[in-house]
Amino acid sequence: MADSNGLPASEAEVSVPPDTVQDMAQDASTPYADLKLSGGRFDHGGFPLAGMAELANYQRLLFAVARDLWRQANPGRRLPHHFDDKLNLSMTEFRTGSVVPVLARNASLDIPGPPDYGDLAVAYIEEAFARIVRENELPADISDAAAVAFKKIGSSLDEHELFQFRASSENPVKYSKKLRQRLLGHGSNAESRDGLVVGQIRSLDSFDKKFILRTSSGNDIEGSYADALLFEDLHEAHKLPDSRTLIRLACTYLYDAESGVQRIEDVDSVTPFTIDAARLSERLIALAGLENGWGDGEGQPVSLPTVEFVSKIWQALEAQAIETPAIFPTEEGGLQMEWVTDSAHLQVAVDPEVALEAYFLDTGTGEEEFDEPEGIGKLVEFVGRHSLGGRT
Amino acid sequence: MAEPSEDSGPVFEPLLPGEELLENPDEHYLRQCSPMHFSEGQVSQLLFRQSSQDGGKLSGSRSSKCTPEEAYEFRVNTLGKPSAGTWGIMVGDIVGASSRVVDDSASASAPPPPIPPGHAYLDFRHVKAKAEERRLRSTLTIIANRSGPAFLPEE
Repeated sequence: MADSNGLPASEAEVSVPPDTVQDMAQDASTPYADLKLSGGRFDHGGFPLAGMAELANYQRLLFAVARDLWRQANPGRRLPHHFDDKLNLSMTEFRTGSVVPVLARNASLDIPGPPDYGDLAVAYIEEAFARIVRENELPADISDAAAVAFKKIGSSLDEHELFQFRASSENPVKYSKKLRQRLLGHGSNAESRDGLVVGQIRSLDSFDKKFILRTSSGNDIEGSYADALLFEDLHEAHKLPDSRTLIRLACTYLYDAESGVQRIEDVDSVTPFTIDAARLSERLIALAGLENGWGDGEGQPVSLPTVEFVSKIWQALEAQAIETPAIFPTEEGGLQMEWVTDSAHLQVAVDPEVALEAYFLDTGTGEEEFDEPEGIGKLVEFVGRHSLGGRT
Repeated sequence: MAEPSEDSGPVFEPLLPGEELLENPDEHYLRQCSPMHFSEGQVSQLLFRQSSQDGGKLSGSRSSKCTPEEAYEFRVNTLGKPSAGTWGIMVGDIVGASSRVVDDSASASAPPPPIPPGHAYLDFRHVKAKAEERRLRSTLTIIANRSGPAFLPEE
């Protein structure tokens, strides 16, 4: 059933009126945030774990906005100790009849006198999203950290799902994936995408949660991340010893058809991998960056252990002075190395679990061999046995 | 029921109403190559790999009804899908590799619109064993690379 905006009706609620809240601690608990996640996975009974990520993003936004509001009211002063801790939200109960997580704060801000910055932040966020839905604009007076946190809301939603503010009011604010993409692309021809970007961290700012990623083509891309827990992974990536080791970021980025990736808006995960063969690095880096759905929509991202293994195979072939092959991705996320002449074909397939298959066919002589070599040594023997992988 | 051949060669499925077997050995079966499967001037054996939706019929076009450039333009501009270019294999070579090409553009089994001009499929349905499939795909790969691209877009 659709509402007056033509948007799907919601069922799962993430809010509770005050009289159903149970106290969790000695301090009085305050019911918090009139939110609702609905549609798609949220309509199938139970509260999907994916919803937890959205609630966590909401908490991060709450922290960022509350900090901004406090700083605006207290210019030049330092934030009180453990400011964020006092805004931590938790779920206190589920309503019977459906899975309805209830959010509550565990303690009020220990700052003398009004206002309560948590309450102010909740109201500010609700009004900001109302404006985003109406006018596709973020508030002008927020910090970069808050802007990133605003943009993260709704990042895990699919096209049928909604993140709702003022959910129990007569005029809930309904925020969708489409509206988010509109927001991320605002003011430019760039479109927001979720995907993979490969490169090396050149600089890292833990305070502002920003970094610079250098791609294999030498472009420096500015990036931000909202999850402070990612700092450790990014810091490790920044310390990587040499050009052989790269990282693959699963991230949200702005993409322009002419200039490619313009900016990384947020990072979900950081995965390092090593390419040992320098000559191969450009091709393997390109393949490591293939996004989910490449090709005709069926292609999976290439497994990074497979990328690393292929680079080792390549090194071993070079060490034997065997001519190195062309390399192609498979839809399952593996890689395939191939040599071909006018009458013969040799291929080595490495699947996403790094299992090997090797096959040779010579249509001139009729010679044919298939094997599943165990280890690089056996594989190099197979390739060397067939003169197609000729000696350089 | 599949039709047995006289010389105990491949056992193909019977043709459906409206399907036409390509018999001119000099006619070409045209196939679009994903940009990911063309590297360093070489096409991959993955060019002849079936997807789960193919049902043993590898889509392409026949050269008597469609030029290599038209086939490329259809894929890129009509279907909005990427292509590195068009590769062609002679029907005679495909028959020699123990397969066949069937024009199904006028049959009820044709793909849903928009249908590529001169749509035809390279038949894999008679291939039951993995070893046989490997051999067929490698043979086609050798031929495709030996022939070179029939059409490459300007860079």
